[in-house]
Amino acid sequence: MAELLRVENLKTYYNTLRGIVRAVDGVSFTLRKGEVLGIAGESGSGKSTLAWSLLGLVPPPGYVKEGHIYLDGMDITRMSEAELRKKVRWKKISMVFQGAMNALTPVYTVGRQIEEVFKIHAPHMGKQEVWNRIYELLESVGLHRSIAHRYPHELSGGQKQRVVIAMALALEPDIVIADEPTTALDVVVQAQILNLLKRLQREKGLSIILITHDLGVIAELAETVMIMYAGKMVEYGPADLVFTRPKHPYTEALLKAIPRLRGPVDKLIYIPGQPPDLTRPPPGCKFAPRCPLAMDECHEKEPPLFKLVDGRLSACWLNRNEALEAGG
Amino acid sequence: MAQANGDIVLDVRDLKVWFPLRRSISEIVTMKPRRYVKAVDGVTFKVAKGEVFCLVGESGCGKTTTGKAILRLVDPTGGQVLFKPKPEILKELERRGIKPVDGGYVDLVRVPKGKFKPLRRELQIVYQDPYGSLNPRFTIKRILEDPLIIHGIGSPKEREEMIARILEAVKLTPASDFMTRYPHQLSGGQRQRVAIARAFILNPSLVVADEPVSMLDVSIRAEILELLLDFRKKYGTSLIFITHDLAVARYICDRIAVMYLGKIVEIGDARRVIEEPVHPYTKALVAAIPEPDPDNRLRIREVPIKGEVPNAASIPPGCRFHPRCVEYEQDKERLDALCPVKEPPLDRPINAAPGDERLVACWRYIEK
Amino acid sequence: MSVTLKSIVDFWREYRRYPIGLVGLGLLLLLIIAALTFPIFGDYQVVKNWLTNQEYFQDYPRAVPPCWVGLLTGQSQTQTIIAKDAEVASFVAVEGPVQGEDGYVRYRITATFTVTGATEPSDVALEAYMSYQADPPGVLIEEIKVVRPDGKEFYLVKPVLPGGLNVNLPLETVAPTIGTVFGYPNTKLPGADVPFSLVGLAQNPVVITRFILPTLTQEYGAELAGASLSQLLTNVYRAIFSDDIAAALKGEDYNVLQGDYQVIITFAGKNLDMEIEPKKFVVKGSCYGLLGTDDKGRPLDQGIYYGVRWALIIGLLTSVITVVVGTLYGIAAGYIGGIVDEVLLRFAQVVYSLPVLPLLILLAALFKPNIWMIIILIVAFSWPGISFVTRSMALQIKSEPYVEAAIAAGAGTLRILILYILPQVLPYMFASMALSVPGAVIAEASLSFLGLGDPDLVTWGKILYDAQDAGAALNGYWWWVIPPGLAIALVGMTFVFIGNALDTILNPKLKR
Ligand SMILES: Nc1ncnc2c1ncn2[C@@H]1O[C@H](COP(=O)(O)OP(=O)(O)O)[C@@H](O)[C@H]1O
Ligand SMILES: Nc1ncnc2c1ncn2[C@@H]1O[C@H](COP(=O)(O)OP(=O)(O)O)[C@@H](O)[C@H]1O
Ligand code: SF4
Ligand SMILES: [Mg+2]
Ligand SMILES: [Mg+2]
Repeated sequence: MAELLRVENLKTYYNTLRGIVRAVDGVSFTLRKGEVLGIAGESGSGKSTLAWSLLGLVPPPGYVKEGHIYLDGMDITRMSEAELRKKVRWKKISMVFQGAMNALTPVYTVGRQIEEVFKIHAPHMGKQEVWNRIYELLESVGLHRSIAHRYPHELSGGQKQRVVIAMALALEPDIVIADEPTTALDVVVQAQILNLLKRLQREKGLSIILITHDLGVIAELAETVMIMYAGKMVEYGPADLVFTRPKHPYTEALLKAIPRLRGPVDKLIYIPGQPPDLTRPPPGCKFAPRCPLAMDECHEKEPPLFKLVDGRLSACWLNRNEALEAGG
Repeated sequence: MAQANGDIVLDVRDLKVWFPLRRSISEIVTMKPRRYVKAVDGVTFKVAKGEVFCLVGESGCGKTTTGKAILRLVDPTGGQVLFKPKPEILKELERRGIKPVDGGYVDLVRVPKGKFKPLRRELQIVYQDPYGSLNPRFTIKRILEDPLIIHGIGSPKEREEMIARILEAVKLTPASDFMTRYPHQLSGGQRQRVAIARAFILNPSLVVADEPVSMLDVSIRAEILELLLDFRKKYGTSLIFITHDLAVARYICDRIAVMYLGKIVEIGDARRVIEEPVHPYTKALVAAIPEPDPDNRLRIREVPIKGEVPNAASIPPGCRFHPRCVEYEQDKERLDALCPVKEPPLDRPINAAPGDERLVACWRYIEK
Repeated sequence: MSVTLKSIVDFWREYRRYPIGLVGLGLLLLLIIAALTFPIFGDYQVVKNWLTNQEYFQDYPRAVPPCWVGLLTGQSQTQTIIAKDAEVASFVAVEGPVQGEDGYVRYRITATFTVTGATEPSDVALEAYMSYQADPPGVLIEEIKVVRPDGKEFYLVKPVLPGGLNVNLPLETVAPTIGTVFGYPNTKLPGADVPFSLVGLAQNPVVITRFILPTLTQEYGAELAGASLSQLLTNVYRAIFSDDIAAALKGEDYNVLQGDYQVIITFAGKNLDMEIEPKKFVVKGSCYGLLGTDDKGRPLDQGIYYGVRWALIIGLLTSVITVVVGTLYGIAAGYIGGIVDEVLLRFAQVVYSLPVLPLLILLAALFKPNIWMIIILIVAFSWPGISFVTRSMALQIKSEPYVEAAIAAGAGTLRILILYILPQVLPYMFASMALSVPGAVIAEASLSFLGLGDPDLVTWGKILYDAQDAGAALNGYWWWVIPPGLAIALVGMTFVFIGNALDTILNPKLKR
């Protein structure tokens, strides 16, 4: 299927008082039409920053240091703010921001807030047209059209999250990024929202980038999985492979840490310690200090992203023998 | 877990917490009766010494309120909370004129606020939000020292030693390094460990852990859970563990109570309840848990439940779950005279396996 | 506690980053200096007599603008001179006794001053302590003349016979007695402060008809033909300073003659024994000081200078009391909660919704208040605003999990209030103290402006009230209206600047 998005060696840094935070440090991937890419990793691993970069919305003091983001052949890292607003944001790629459902303005009805999206990104549309579209959108995310005239506080968490998804779909983008879309929700509502995303993806052929720290959620939706650690992509490949035969100790640890509903109740596994300070990352493999399998060289030399026989990418020295070539 | 009465630390009987709704002027004038949010509406359970007792359910079902009512952080509207303090605390309470009920229990609901202080040493809480539960203006040392000062424990030097010990117990080492820090200089997991240290520094008999890991990354949750379990093992502390994640509950709970709109709908051995749920609501909760199985993406996850949780201010009549219950829907002819009309009692299910002590509140599964 | 010291240092570091806050602080410093230095540089007599003793201000020119106005408009002004005691010596000289050959003893006062303005000074006045004794009786005024810059001498008193004949007769037959001119005893004065006024003389009908007219007719007889007596009566004073004496006398256009003038008074008498000690010399110019004078001659710069301290006292005291009262009330309501909160909140809302100014006016009118009463009245109506905010802060902090955690650990109410709630409310208190100063100053000014202020106190509001009363705006006395208005605005601005900076620092939500 056609390639929609290609990210090449993206580096997004924050200049802070403590030093440069390498929040996204050399990430490359592609996204096809209709593909669901799941990005997983602990908080602070740079997932949101990666997403913001794709929309050209990295908040200061952050900036895209280098790399390219090709969307439909255009490099959006070279675009001006005006161009981004006119051609890219919401039209081609939109985002459900982390915690957005709690950021709805309490003083306007949700309909007005969706209308705002049209005013900013599609000012040429007539009022009638816009409102017809708003009703249509609400229905497409499983809400009644009367919700348009309600205020956020009158809605449940699940309903608000649906509204936010409707906003992201307003201008029929090709790609929707959903940043932790279910983190604050109950399991039942989470399942409903994931089902909604699944349905939208199938019906509209939408490409989705799903960001979460919960691999269980990724498994519900993603065809391809990217595991991030400390700003780096440490494993990338088809979900079937990543979940069943993880090639990076970090992925393996993340999977083991998920409590299961079935099977034996062993001791719960966790990843000891915490992610490195991104202003002063360790020299070798960033995961080495927490890795149960770390060898001496892991602490010294950073592993390249190995391309494995099964087409996967993994940045771990243990994969050296299986690797076809060292990817970048 | 043993349920012999001698081992029971906490015996909650028909606990009710109703929050009065503000009445509008017109309601006051027309003398409409006051309406209530029945956050906890008659909850009964027991917790044994050293037991991890779980409360699960969707948000708003009254888990937190139950926990806080037991600790008297909100005032119960009715019911009894019988608690068995350590002997020295009991003596202190008797000195203050509080007569224990037989067997060394105190009814927490009836202890006047002014005489509650000794019991605070016995009853502690760990909050869900590691960002809000630590005073941002205090250093870690100050946060941990406060409870000791309040109860007049130790000299400054002894207190510092105690703080160092507890920090080591929650693996915040070197302790001296962490003492001088402020909460905002710690990660979420580290803060939650401080919160746990604060809860255990007084060596309480009962700790309510209110979703202590829901706001943390999956990858570090287990470590926090392990800490809690370590403390329970070392000191025999009983835990009331609140969560909405049944998968987590399966790992750490001995017994579990599933709550829906202020009532327990199923209670019993944790493994049994989660692995073979009986109540339709428990089944829905179990079905909703995502598992890291990549095949899931190829199918829509069917969660056998309709709609959303109704407002706790207007609880449906009969079985409070019936508007959302798919089993009632399927079996409507048989259940129509019951579910929407009469509240099901918490009872043994028919066909219960031998040794299964569970109770369910569902007309479909109990003797009518 | 080193913690507090450190936090103060930290706070200052942060504060320094807000230029507006620094400007505010600078202004506050100036205001405080102004308030404190009044006893050194200010004229306390002026403010003491401000409200009660109008006579005190008779030496001041009335309703004249500040002197710097001349610099701006390019129009030259005549400076006002108010010299007293020791200073007088540089303007006034006394000679005598001089034993004349004709057997008279003479004493002479010479006052020198400069006219620089386009208008003549509104008066030239002298006050001297005099005692005298003459034997044989009769102290005579031999002459009073003004020596003008052009060399001409303008005689106010000259020994002439009625009718203007200038004959060599003995002095006592032609010269008037001191009684005729000034109304003092002719023979003996045991010692008194006596005034002399150029205007007074130039408008004294006796002096005009008896001395001035005859002299003038001698000189300008032809030119004055046809001028009426009443015309002359009113114009003599102007003529003294006119470059065209005749034109001035007739009421025609003239220019003021600029330069040094001398007023010379010569006393004479046989065996005259006189003591003259000049006490005060005043030239009432066409401008006064930094801020001009009002219609009673009160120097406005002193009034406004003095007003600083009351503005600060009223502003700070009122705001501190308001904030403390409001905060305690709000915390009590928020922390206790329940029905107590309900009642306290409703009461505060009622007070808040009262129309403040009308009520203040009513109460002030009823109680004839002093300044302390006024402060209490202002406080009584302005605490609710503060209490609403602190109430919701207390409510919010009370529901923070960490406060509940402290309660769960056994902390009592007092501990929660002092250790948890107060430290968070304190910054807000400081900011709102700063921000409620302007309101208090304006409230007091409004009351004073309406004539309901403390009657014994010179405040800016009071000055404005007088201005309004005298129709200052209508008469174009802008220097009477604008400076006190600006001063009030300045105090307001100072504290708004400081308050905003505090607010931004202490309220992280506003931080950029
Ligand atoms: N506005 C910012 N300024 C400075 N550092 C930031 C900012 N936003 C994020 N970071 C840092 O960038 C890193 C990645 O953050 P983020 O992209 O939010 O991760 P994730 O979404 O995976 O939790 C973290 O170390 C975080 O502290
Ligand atoms: N202080 C309170 N006043 C009024 N209603 C409350 C209060 N605390 C909780 N509630 C209500 O009680 C119900 C139960 O809340 P809670 O115990 O927090 O549920 P859970 O912890 O299961 O999410 C909710 O409907 C909530 O809105
Ligand atoms: S009692 Fe009826 S409605 Fe309630 S859970 Fe059982 S079957 Fe469903
Ligand atoms: Mg994020
Ligand atoms: Mg809760």
